[in-house]
Amino acid sequence: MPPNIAELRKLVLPKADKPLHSTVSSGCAGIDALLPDRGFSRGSLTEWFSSRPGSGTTILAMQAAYQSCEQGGTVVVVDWNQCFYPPAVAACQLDVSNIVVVQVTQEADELWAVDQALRCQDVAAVVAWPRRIDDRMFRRWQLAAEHSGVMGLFVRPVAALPERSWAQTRLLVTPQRARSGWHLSVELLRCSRSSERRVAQLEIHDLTGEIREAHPRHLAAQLAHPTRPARKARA
Amino acid sequence: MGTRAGMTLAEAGALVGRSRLRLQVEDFDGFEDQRVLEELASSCHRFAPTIGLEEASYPETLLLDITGVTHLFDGESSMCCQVVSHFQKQNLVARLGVGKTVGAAWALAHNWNTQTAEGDQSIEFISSGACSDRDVDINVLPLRCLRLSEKCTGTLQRLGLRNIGDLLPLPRADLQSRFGSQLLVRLDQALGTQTELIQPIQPPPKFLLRETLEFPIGNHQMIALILERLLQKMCQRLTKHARGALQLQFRIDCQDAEPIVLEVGCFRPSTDPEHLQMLFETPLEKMRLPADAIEISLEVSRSDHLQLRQHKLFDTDSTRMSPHVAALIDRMAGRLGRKAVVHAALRSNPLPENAFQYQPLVGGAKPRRASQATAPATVLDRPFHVLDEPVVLGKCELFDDTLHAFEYQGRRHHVSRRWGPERLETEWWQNRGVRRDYYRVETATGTRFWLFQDRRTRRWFLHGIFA
Repeated sequence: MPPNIAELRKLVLPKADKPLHSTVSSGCAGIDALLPDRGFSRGSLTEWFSSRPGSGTTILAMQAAYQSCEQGGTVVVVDWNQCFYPPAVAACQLDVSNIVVVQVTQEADELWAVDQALRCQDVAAVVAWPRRIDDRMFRRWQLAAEHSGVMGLFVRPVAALPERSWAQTRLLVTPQRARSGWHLSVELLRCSRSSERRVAQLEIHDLTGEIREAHPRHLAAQLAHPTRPARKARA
Repeated sequence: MGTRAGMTLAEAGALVGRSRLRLQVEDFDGFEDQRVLEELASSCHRFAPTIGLEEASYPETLLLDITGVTHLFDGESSMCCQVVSHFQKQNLVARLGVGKTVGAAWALAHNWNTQTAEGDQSIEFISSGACSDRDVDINVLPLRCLRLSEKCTGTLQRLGLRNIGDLLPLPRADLQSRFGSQLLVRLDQALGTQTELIQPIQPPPKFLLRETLEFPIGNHQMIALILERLLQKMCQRLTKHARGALQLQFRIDCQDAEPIVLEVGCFRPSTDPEHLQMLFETPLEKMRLPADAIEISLEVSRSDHLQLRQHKLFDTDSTRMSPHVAALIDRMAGRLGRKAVVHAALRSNPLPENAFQYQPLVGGAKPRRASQATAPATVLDRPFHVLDEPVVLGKCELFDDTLHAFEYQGRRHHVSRRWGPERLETEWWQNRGVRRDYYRVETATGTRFWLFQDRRTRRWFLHGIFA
């Protein structure tokens, strides 16, 4: 056997024997139901697309980050526009002292910081809001995450949807009008394995902040579809 | 301005309020206070061999043992002038007292009143002079100069005792039974009948390595090799003292040009030469030598004791950052700058922009005490994205003083639901009394924003987005 093939085998085989990364719940039963493994795999990248500003996407991403560090590990937040507000994190039960915030002003620094954080095996999750991701860089992130077992959670605008992606999961979050609670529609755009369900309807309770699956409620009168009686013509 | 130590915040605010200046209020941090005091003590080693801090939960007095050294400074008075000028250079006001005992010196240094503090002479020292003079001075000094508790001093004053001398004729047994042994101990220490030792603060060892080059060098690789050698030597030296580097300065003196100083910091005290070399890689790559280097030096400007901790079998302390994360923090701080890698500390401040404070993780910033700040109750109480500066909303549509529509980033948003107001106000002496009514609003498309109305100007601002 040529020596270079043997070296390659040494490199590849131990990785093939390695057990798959465990699964982490998204923190919301509705999203878990969308995913084939009932959660996100450690060492995978997830893109959360926000249909418009103010659609609650970061809340869902942070819930997943909290779930990822329950077994230990640090959360790294790469904040490119200095808008990240730590007091809001405390409401997600995340320990603020366990979060490392990296403030960057240049796109290149942002991509580099995410790359470095994804390579650190004691980091539980990396949360970032990248606008553009170079195809090669995205692939590097994927390999880095796969190797270290770090979860990458990226909140992105819907304009970035046509870009090539190496993320295992892509989700689109769209807010809905509702009479009570905050209703968010989460659509599974892509997953490594197919799932039966494609859309989950979530509701964030206005008072408790609890995120649960929204069940459409129909009034009995609506279900019956009563026909309107024809108006009598006035004499 | 007329502000002075011991003044209440309201009084200081009233004084500042007359001018156009803003009052900056910082929370008291006893840990940081002591650290700075220890640094000041270390800087005073040029005056005395033994320097310590007073015994108190929050010490505020430096004790210098100047026995047998005053002749080196041409006497007590000249020495005091030099000490005063040493503090003056650091923009600090110092009060000195020289006595034959610690208690006497403390009493003299603390025997000042507000009139002298507000006067033109900002610094004042009192020298006891000869022994006989000192005895007289001690007796006439007020009781608050005895380092007693406020309660004890108050009780003594209510009994008609004003000066230290008033205590001397009283029977010691009665004083002890009524006020405890502490009164007699302090009295004896002040009079010199009981010895009091100064717990010395050891000056931190200086870690500096210098290499004068045989001939000028302009090659980056050569400089990196010298740095590597210096780092190995430095790490050996640090290990001997059981200390680790927190901040390092690499200085390159060039021929006929300004020296270049590269500075790196560590999240944790480190004695790993490879790790430290890695931190210097990026600054070395960016460095441009104006001329050939003639001398190279490496100094550990900040160091700390190595953190050695025995791990438990089932260690569940998730908040402690691992060595891998520490290395990651150092790497990122090395490239992005010390202030770019931070952690947040929540604060008990009603103003949203002051509800937290970022602290750099690298460079030996000591962890502060656990914050007593209360976290928001739910994820909908505060948005994850808060704008640096609130943005004035344009073209607001109001009906009965309620916001119905607004324009943001060129788009018209119609408000369908709102929660609030959550009234946030600061004290009148802080931020000129901010008064805001915050609302969470949901637009017709289901998106949510965090707005407020300034109660003074009645204008509407966007402060956060539930992104």
